[in-house]
Amino acid sequence: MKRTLSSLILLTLTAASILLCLAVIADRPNKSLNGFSRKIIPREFSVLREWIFSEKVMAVAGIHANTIYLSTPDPARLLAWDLVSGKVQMIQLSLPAARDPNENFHTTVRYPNYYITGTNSRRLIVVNLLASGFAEYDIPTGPVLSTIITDSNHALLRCVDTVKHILEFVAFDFRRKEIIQRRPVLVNRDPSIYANDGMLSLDKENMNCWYTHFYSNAMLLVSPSKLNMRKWKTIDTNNIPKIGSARIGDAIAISKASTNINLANFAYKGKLYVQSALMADNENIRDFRDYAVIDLYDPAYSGSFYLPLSKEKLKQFMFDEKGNLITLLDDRILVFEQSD
Amino acid sequence: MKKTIAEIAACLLILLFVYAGLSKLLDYHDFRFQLGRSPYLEKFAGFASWLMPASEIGAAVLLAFRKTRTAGFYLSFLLMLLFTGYIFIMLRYSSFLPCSCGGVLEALSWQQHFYFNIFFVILSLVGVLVLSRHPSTIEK
Repeated sequence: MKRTLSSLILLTLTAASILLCLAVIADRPNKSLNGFSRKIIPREFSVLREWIFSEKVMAVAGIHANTIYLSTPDPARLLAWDLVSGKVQMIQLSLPAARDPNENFHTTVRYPNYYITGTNSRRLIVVNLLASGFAEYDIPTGPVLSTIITDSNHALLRCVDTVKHILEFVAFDFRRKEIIQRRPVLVNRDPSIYANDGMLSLDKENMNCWYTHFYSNAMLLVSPSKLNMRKWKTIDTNNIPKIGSARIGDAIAISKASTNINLANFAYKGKLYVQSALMADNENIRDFRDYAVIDLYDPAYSGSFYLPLSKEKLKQFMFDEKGNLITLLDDRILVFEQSD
Repeated sequence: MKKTIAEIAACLLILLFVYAGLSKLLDYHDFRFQLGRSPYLEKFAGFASWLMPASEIGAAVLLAFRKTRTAGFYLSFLLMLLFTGYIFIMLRYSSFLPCSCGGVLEALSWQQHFYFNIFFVILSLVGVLVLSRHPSTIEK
């Protein structure tokens, strides 16, 4: 017994010595840091075009032949901005009962078609902008959070399974007029309702979809038809969303604001561009405050660059066919020309 | 009774070490990356990322055989003390907590993980004490 106790004491002392050595070598961590570093890629951006909106614009619905299509609060009303002439054309469509002002909707222009999904409409409307006819498709899913038109025959919908309270991806075939695949998504191991908040983008060149979560470092690479998923992480250390919630009887209420980790994203030529909300340990605080920082993943982190958008909320960004960067802000749209 | 306690303790520790060790190896790049972010382990991340799963699987192997079970409990005790001490230091001194645990253990908060580890420290200790008092349990 004495021998056993001696051994246990010796092992305890060994463990304490190893930990003490680690603490001494590390010299205690700096308490003010976020725990990750950025590799800055120098890029120069100059404003090529700018349009200050005279009416509310919701999102960039699509780009085709030097024209940017913008959705408005009315799904039947599109704005087409010609990048060459600078002229704006208003397109007023005649739609079925899709124009419910209380319904959240998502729009995509894949010229000549215009696609609309409503969060709870359970249907997808396809309008031909040239022929002005439309087709309606039933989509038996829970609330639709966003829709990606992957090609002329397929769509990928990000939905909520309100029975299991999880996020799911649904692949829809326009020719067969039915759902061909559906997969549940657990973006991280937090089953809270907030796990649904994120952004889905399509890399048209490689036919891959990317999903980033707003409140954690979860990142998914999804094949649009088979819905095979690979999980990755962005460079920060936030594996679990930091959202405070309080239970009051049967109800759950948010007790503190969520911590945003990753904001808007865009997939382009095999890379994912993500606007980050976190400052890196090696980052200059002025750079972080004065610019929008964009991290690049392929899918491992490969570097970051700054966009000259001081203190303005970047709602959406994307590259056009010429490689110009289109950025949507609250009150205007800016097109940047970039040089490496 | 004592034999049963030792068997159960060994089984639980084997389950833990095999699961944790394999999870780390299967997601090695992520594990190595997360270790590199630890303020205490960043300088040894390459070395530690192999040593940790190897030690866990080694402990599981020692616990699996009756002849080496006592050594397995001693190694488990040392490993669990190190892991628990590391979590304590991180909780006490570090403002950011990179998660390098494999599999479902990642779902535990650091506080939960601390208590989870204490349970296994006690389990290892129980195993050592039972086998040292009743060495016959390993001969049968």
